[in-house]
Parts: sequence; structure tokens; C-alpha cells
Amino acid sequence: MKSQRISPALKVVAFIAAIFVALPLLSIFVRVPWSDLGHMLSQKSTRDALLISLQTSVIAALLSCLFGVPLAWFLARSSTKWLSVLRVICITPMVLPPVVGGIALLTAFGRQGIVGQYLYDWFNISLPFTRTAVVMAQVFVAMPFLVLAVEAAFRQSDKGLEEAARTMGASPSRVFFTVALPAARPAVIAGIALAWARSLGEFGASITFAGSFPGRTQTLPMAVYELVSVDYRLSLVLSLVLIFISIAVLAAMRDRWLAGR
Amino acid sequence: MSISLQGTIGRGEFERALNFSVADGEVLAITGPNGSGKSTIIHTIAGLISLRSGQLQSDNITWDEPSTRIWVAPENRTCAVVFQDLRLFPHMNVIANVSYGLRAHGVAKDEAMTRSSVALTRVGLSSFEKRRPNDLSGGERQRVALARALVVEPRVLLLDEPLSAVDASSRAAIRDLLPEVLSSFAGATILVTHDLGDVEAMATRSLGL
Amino acid sequence: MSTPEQREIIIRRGRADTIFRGVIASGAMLSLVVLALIAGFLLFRGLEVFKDFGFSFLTGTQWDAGSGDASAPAHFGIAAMLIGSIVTAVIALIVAVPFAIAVSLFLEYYAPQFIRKPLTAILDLVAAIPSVIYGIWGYAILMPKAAGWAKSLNSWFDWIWIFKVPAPIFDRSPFIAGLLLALMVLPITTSVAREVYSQAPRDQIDAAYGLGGTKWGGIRTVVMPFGRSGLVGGAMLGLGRALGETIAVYLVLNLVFKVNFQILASAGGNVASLIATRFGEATPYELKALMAAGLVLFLVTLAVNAAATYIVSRSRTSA
Repeated sequence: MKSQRISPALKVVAFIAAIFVALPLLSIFVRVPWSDLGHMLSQKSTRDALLISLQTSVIAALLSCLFGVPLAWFLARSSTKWLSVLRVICITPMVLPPVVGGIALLTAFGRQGIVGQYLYDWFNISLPFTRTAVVMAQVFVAMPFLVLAVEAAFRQSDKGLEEAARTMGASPSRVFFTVALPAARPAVIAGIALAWARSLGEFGASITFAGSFPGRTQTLPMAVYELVSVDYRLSLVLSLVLIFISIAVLAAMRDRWLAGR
Repeated sequence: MSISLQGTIGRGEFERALNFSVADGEVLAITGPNGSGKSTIIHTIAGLISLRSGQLQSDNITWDEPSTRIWVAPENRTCAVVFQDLRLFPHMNVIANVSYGLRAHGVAKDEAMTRSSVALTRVGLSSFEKRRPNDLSGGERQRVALARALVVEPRVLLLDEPLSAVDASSRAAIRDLLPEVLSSFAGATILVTHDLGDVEAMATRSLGL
Repeated sequence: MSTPEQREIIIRRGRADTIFRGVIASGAMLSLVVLALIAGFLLFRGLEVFKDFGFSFLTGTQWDAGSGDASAPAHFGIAAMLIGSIVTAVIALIVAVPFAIAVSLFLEYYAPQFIRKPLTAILDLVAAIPSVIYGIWGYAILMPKAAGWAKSLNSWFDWIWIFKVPAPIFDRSPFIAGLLLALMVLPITTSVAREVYSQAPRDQIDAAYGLGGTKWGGIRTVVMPFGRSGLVGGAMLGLGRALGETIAVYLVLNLVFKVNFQILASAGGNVASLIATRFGEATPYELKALMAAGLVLFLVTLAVNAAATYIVSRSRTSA
């Protein structure tokens, strides 16, 4: 249904809404102390948080891809009767409040955790409050987004091509890597970008499971949280860095969202 | 017998009892109206669906026999399919499409490329190697699918409505090409079609459903 | 192709496939096991505290780790925090849902292509913005402004109980946290509403339009009733998200351990913020209480989300 005449009231509301959602970004740009920017970014605490954030979020995004893509494939093609249960469980972290996710990780992998106590007793491995814990928290929160995106792509991809590949002598694994995966590549890339953005902004799960130790586990969002009451201008600068990285991630996905729906 | 099927095929509600065999060098045409299960036969032989009952054998090796739970996976069956909708891989160029089966069978890359080039030349597409399937005409795509099936030197060749995806203008050319290709093919051929002209032009025997 | 050669290939392929299948199955099973363990352990740990405090864990408002001995025993009750979470989330929905309806109707039925695409893009983009960004925006820019709005609301509607304040301080109130959350749940609510509205039967809309009505009439009589349950589902998904938000709420809300329904007052509660702020220096016993609080939050969001999923899927199948 196409119409040139748009209800003016609706137009106004829609316009307000667009501003409403874009405003936070714009206003941070305005408030950032641009003249001190270089100096602030070169401070050790800032650099540490930035590096930790980049390091952990990149690893988390790659791990999400490594485990999430096979999982998505399994969900899309398996015919086990547990499938619906499995899918619900995979999506749970998406609706779980991140703090609860962090607590949950601690109960599983903490020193007295159900898995963690054996890791500690047998291998002397203690996961909480380490950088590994940051990565685990990020994967926990971010992977479901990737799984959902990639599963949808696998589901929509042409099964006929996979069948054809089988009749040509390709084993299931070969079919996956040469036919199914290339077909789902845009979704995989979008999923990685999404997982990365989520990992980068992750706060609740990592602060409960990994804590906020400067130079060790403190990521950008944690640094912003700690700095707000201490050095408000610096926290704005860090927010700016976060925004820039998020926008870069989303720009990489722009084909997807500019395509419309 | 190169291929023999004796049993019941089925998909969903549809079921049908069949009994036929095809020897090397023979071309069996299976004809029938839509919904008579022509494609189901092809898919059953290729291993994409299983028999409801009975036995499917090739060169005295059982491929599918529900009663003994014998089942050979599609990738291990020495047959090749030209699908009705062709199913060329859109993300690969022509030569990669044709060499895919050889690579999957473990043939070294150089040899696979050489053999694929030969196969493409045989169907008259020697200069098309680097093109993408989506840039080709219906007739050209059909030739790629044919080359892709023949290059692995299957024992059984399965053709599912090989002229349906071809526009009228290039149909004559394909119809000339197919008998020529089939006559030099050593194994058994099963040709599914609803066009009696196809039967006359290519088949040595026919089976109506 | 000779037979022995072929057999060799089969064996080699079989091994690769076994590995492939193993990787996939173990990846899937790993997630399953981890999540099952997590839910189970959360329940196990949380139950200890429930056993000690019984129902008063849910109804009490005191949160005191005590001194560790009998003279000052620990008291844990999350009523203030839980009710605070719900109050802010409900404010968020009251603000966000009308916007979501307007935006989704506009995008689906009125917007020309050149507006629809960038607007959809903005909504998608916003979904990936870290919540700490919202938090700092809320803290630095929204709060000073919104405190002014709250003051006006208070001066005009003082006679309504929920707009009363005990002291003329308008910072860090549930009202402000709710506004911020409204912004954050708008994208998800809008996208669900859009999806539901887009499935409204076009012929009926056209019929209503053709019967001499306006386009708006068609939307009001056909699209909105059709999409009602879907909209409720979308709103509940937003509610689930608003309930679990941590840092953004923490930055603009004063956590006070007292049940408070006066939304303009500088006192509110939020379970997720409680957990995040207390977790670092909690005593072992308080840790268990925080886990129990996490469990309650988990169950509440799970219930909200399950209800939302059910409502949305029902509205889809009835289409």
C-alpha cells in the first residue's frame, strides 16, 4: 500500500521517535572534551581498558563463531526430538538478565562451582576474576545472537544444493564447508559483528563473573561505570570510543540493514 | 545388472511398487504424468530418500534394503544425477562446479581441473570455465549440469527431466547433444521425462508409470 | 573407477565425518550441559537462602549482611528492589509502547521508501549500542533535564499520590530510570510490533479504506485489533529487557531499601543493580543471598519472556 498522504500526527510522532533514539549518540558527541581528547586517550588506565576490551571482545566473537556456527547448523538440520528444548536453552542467555548470567557462570565455574571446584582441585585452575572469565562472560551473552542469525540463514538456504553435493560424492562435512557455509556467509559475518558489538558493550555478566580490576579485567564499560562519579569527562571520552567501535561494527553490517526488510 | 530396483518407493502420502533393472549401455526412459513419482525414483536411487520396502542394487552391491537395514550414503553411491532444477552451485564458477565431484572423491586438484576441462569441451562449453552459473543461459546451465554428472565417470547416470529447464531455442541443440553423450557413456542411464519425443530420441527402452 | 580405490576413500571420509559430527554434537551438548548446570546450581544455591528466610526473602525490604555473629544477624529481603525493578520497567513501557505503535504503523503503512530504510537502520543500530552508553547519556544529559520535567509534573499533579515527593529532590528517581529504559526497549518493541502489523490482512484494510474511510480508519478498525496480542507480546519482551537492565539503571537511580511507589522521588530499587554493586565485596552468606536474588530475577524474566513468546506466537498462528 503506497500513499503520498501521511497522517501528520503520525509523522510527527515518528520523527520524534527517530530523534529520541539517535539523541544519546549525538549529545555525547557534543559533550566530549575534544581538546583534551588525545591526552585522555593516552592515559594508561584508558589504554588498558581499551586494549582489554578489544582483546576480549575479539576473542569472544571468534569463539562465538567457532562454537556458534556448528551449533546453528545442528539446530537447523538435526531432527532430534530434543531440538526444541535445545533451542530454548540456547536462546535463554538472550533473555537472561546479564547479571544473572554472570552469577550463573560463577556458580558453574567459580572455585566452589559445580565444574569449577574440580578444575581447581585437579588442575589448579581458577577461572573467576581473570581475563578468561571476561571472555567467557562475553561469549555466554553474545553467542546466542550469532546462533539465531546463522540458524535462520541455514534454515533458508537451499537444501537441494546440499543434496546435489551429496550425490556428487561429498561427505556431510564437505557439504557443510563447501556448500552450506558459503551460502550462509553473509549471516555468519553479520552474526560475528553482532556478537562482537555485544561482547564489547557487555557489562553485567563480566562484572559479576570477572570483576572490575584495572589492567586485568576492567573493560571499557566497566571503566565508564567506575569513572562516572570520579572523572566524568574521562568516562565521556571512553563512551565515545565505545560508540565509535560500535558504529564501525555496524557499518560492517550495513548491507544487511540497508537492504531493508 | 548395473542397477536394479525391486520394491516400493514413497514420499509422504505417495507410494508406488516398482520392478526394473537397467544394464550397462542401456537408456531406460521412465515416463508418466506429473505426480506419478518420477522424481521420487531418481531421488531414491541417488539416496536422498530411502525405499519403503524391497531392495535397490547396483553391480550386485546393495544400496538400500530396509529389511536388512543396509543403507549406502548418497556420497558412496556410484551414480550421478542431473536434477530437474539443475542445482548448480551459484557461488562457484563453472569449472569449480564440474570439478566438485572429483575433488570430493579425492582426485588431486590438477587432475580434477584437466578432466573437468575435457568434460566441458565435450558438452561444448570450453570457454565458459570462469563464468558463474547465474550468467549462463538455460541451455548452457543444462550442459554444465551434464558435464558435472559425467565427469565423475558414474556407473549409473540419472537424468530428471533434462530438457525442462531449457528454453525452446536451445532445446534442439541439447536434444542433439544428449544422445551423442549417452551413446558414449558406458554405464546405465535412467531418464525421467514426460516428453515422448525425448524417449524416441534417446531411450533404448521405456517404462510407463 | 575401481572398487578398492573407492573403498579407501570411504574410510578416509568416514573419519573426517566422525570428527565433524563429534564437534557439532559436542558443541551443542556443551551449551546444553552448561546451561542446565547453571540453572540447576543457581536453584541449589538460592534454595539455601530461601530455606533460611522463607517467604520474607520476597517480602522483606532490609538488605543487611550483618556482622557475622549473633548480635547483628543478617537480613535479606528483596521486596524493595523487586518492586523497584517492576515500577521502573512499567514506566518504561507506558512511555515506549505508544511510540512503538506509532513508529511501527508509520514504517509499515505510511513511510515512503526513503524514510523507511534509514529509520529501520537507526532502529537496528540502536539495538547494538552498549547499555553503558545509554547509562552515561542518561546520567549526563537526560537526568538534569528530566529532573526539571519531574519538578513540573510534581507542581501540577501534586494531588495524585504517585507524583508526590517526600523531599524536593528530583534526581535519580524511578521516573528518570523509566524514561531511560523506555528509550532502550523501544527498538525491540517496535520491531515486534512491525512484524505483527505487517501480517494484517491487506484486503480487509483495503476494504475498510475503500468503504469511504480514510487510511487511518482502516488501520484503526483492522490493523490495530489484529495486532493487539502481538503488540502485547512485543511489550512484554521489552519488559523482560527492562527488568534485567543493570548499568544504565544504576547510573540514574538511587538505590534505597524501602518500597517506594512515588515515582518522582529520589529512591528506587533494581535487582540487577543490587547484584552488580554488592557482588564485589559480599560476604559468602550475602553472596548466596545475591544468588537467590538472581534466581528470583531469572524466574521473573523467564516468566515474562515465556508469556511474551506465547502471546506473539499465538498471534502469528491465528493470522
